[in-house]
Amino acid sequence: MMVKPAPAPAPVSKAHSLALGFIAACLFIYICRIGAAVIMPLVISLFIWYLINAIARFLGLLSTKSGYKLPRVWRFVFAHVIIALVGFLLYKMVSANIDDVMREAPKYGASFDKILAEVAQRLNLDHTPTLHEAFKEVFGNYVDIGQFITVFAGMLTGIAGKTIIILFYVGFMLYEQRWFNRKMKLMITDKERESHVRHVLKVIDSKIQKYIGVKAFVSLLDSFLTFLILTYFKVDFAGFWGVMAFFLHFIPYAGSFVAVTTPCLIAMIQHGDLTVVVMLAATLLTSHAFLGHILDPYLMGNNLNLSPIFIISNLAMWGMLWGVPGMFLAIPILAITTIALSQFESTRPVAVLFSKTGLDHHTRRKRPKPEV
Amino acid sequence: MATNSQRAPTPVLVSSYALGFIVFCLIVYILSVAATILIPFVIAVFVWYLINAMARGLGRVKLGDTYLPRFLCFLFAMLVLIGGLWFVYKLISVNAVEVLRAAPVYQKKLMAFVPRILSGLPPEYQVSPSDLGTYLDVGGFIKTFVAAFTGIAGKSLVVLFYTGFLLYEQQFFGRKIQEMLREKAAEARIHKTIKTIEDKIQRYIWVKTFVSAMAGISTWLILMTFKISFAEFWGVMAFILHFIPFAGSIAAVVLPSVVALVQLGDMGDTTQLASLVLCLSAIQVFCTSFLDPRLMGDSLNLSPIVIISAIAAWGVLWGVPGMFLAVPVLSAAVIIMSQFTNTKSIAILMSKTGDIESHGTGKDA
Repeated sequence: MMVKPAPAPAPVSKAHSLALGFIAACLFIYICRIGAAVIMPLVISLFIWYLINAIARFLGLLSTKSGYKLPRVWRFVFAHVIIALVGFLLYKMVSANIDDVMREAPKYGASFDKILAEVAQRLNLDHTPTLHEAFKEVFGNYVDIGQFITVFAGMLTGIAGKTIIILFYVGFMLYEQRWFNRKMKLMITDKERESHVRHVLKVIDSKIQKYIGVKAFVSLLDSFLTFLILTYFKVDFAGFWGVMAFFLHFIPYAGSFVAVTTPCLIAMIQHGDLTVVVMLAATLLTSHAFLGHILDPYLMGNNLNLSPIFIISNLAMWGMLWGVPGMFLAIPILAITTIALSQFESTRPVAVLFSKTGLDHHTRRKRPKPEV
Repeated sequence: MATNSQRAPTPVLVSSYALGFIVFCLIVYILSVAATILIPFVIAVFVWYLINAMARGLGRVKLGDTYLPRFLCFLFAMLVLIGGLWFVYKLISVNAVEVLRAAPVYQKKLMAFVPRILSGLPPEYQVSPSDLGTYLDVGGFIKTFVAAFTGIAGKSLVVLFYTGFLLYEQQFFGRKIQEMLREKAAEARIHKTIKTIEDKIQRYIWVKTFVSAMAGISTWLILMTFKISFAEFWGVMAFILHFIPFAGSIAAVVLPSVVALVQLGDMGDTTQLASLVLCLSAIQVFCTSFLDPRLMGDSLNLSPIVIISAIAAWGVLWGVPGMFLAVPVLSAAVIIMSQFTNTKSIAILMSKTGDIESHGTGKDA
């Protein structure tokens, strides 16, 4: 046996906090699973509350030449009206289209089977696959388009059924937010610590508002563009896919994948003309690439670059926990968690892990700005 | 050491064991609950790893004066891997259908055959046909095995996504690690740990692939000489099964022997059957007890008891894919644990000879 130099002192406390953090995270996820019925409406109303605040703040930035600004109350009233209108329109559009989609789905299946049979004949296959088999072959048992649409519709109507709870929550959040500062002051007696906590919370808050605001804006643009493109190519249910594009835009990579492939499939069944499908796919891809990879990072200041691996696995995890609604909430939740974790020294490594390229180089670029 | 024990009084030690146990339980629980999510990811990590290893190997090849460009290395590695996987998948899926079709015939013949062997024994050792059916389900075994493969193939799209993103993101890994660990010492240690794991796993995979290929080819040749049906299928099966220590070897001998028993047993040729079983066993013994340790060196210093129980545990958690992953994951876990003073004792417990330092620091010294 060789005499070895004494090993470095064991980082007991660090390992302990790592273990405790892991346990807490596991329990938190478990609670999200069993408490889905309570927590999901709360999370959705948090998002809506944030959106209202973001819109109100945005309206506050507007002013006429003479310097007139909308009073605070009116800003909030307008924000409410906008959100309510958008929500109502979304609901109407989806519920109106869903019935049509569901009615047409078998017809599409039949004509798609015909195309498949043609392809199979051309390839000299002895077995002609049906649409269902083809989907199974490609996607495994994960995705069944018919089921997906049903679940999505069920989710939207389910959320609509929970509207009252969500409305209550949002109302109380808006009502209570004015006392938030005071409560904070009373909670933390230490003056210095209070200002620090307040600063951190402010940073987190502004980043999250920026994230949600930018995402909502670009998603709206995406939804509108998708609608225009699909109408131009005369694809059925352009309105429905436009609405879907709004939600799918919140999910990077996987969402774009679905938002491009499904309308193309429908166009293929509808027209049976490959050139149209290719042109449609090219246009949709261009618009998605522009919005997702140029406009999004530009507006976001690239301070939120999530790792694709974590995006996909997070989607799978929330899909398992909360079903399809979970998949739509997954990425906003991940983004907000990453923003919050990046603001504390002890949890920053986790945020770095979730990010695509790390966080340092962005802050370094910002450092030259004078700090007050 | 003495200073260490002074610094950490007993209560802390107890609480850290308790915490470690809780974390371990939670990890196992997550592995079992989230198997559908984690299995494609882990497979993707393996595929990604293989592509990297192959690309690195190609990068060392010199063409005239210049090395192959990095991009071409990766492209070539991907093509080779996808081609290989496609070939194995095709071979299994094509043959499996026929084997499964033939399975009931074998089952019936076997059921008739076994009582004939046992007829010499006293009556209390006789087995009823229904009992035999529950114990010896040839078709069922092959079906679960093949289903595991086609199941993985069905998830190929998800695996592809993960692999693509891993390949894309690996350029940022170094920077992320650097940013996560702000101390230089910790960073150096992590890099060393990753390097050690990489070396060991790489060696494990290459040696295993080589020895498995040997086992597969020789199994195929032997079955061909004895004119057993589905020789190439059993050859591929032997190649794959060899990645599962112990249990895989037993299956690789027993399954073709059953087929041979039925095929040759009809002709009453016992000597031929015995020599076939002997040959197959000899191959497995030679490969697992002689070639494997010789080529592996002591790089995989794991206790056999731990290996067998790990395979059983992973089999319960994740089924057949888990059994393949058991040994690589276990060795990675032992290497990681041997790098930290708090967990070193567990690593020593799981090793065969207790000599875990020989590889961690041997090369640097």
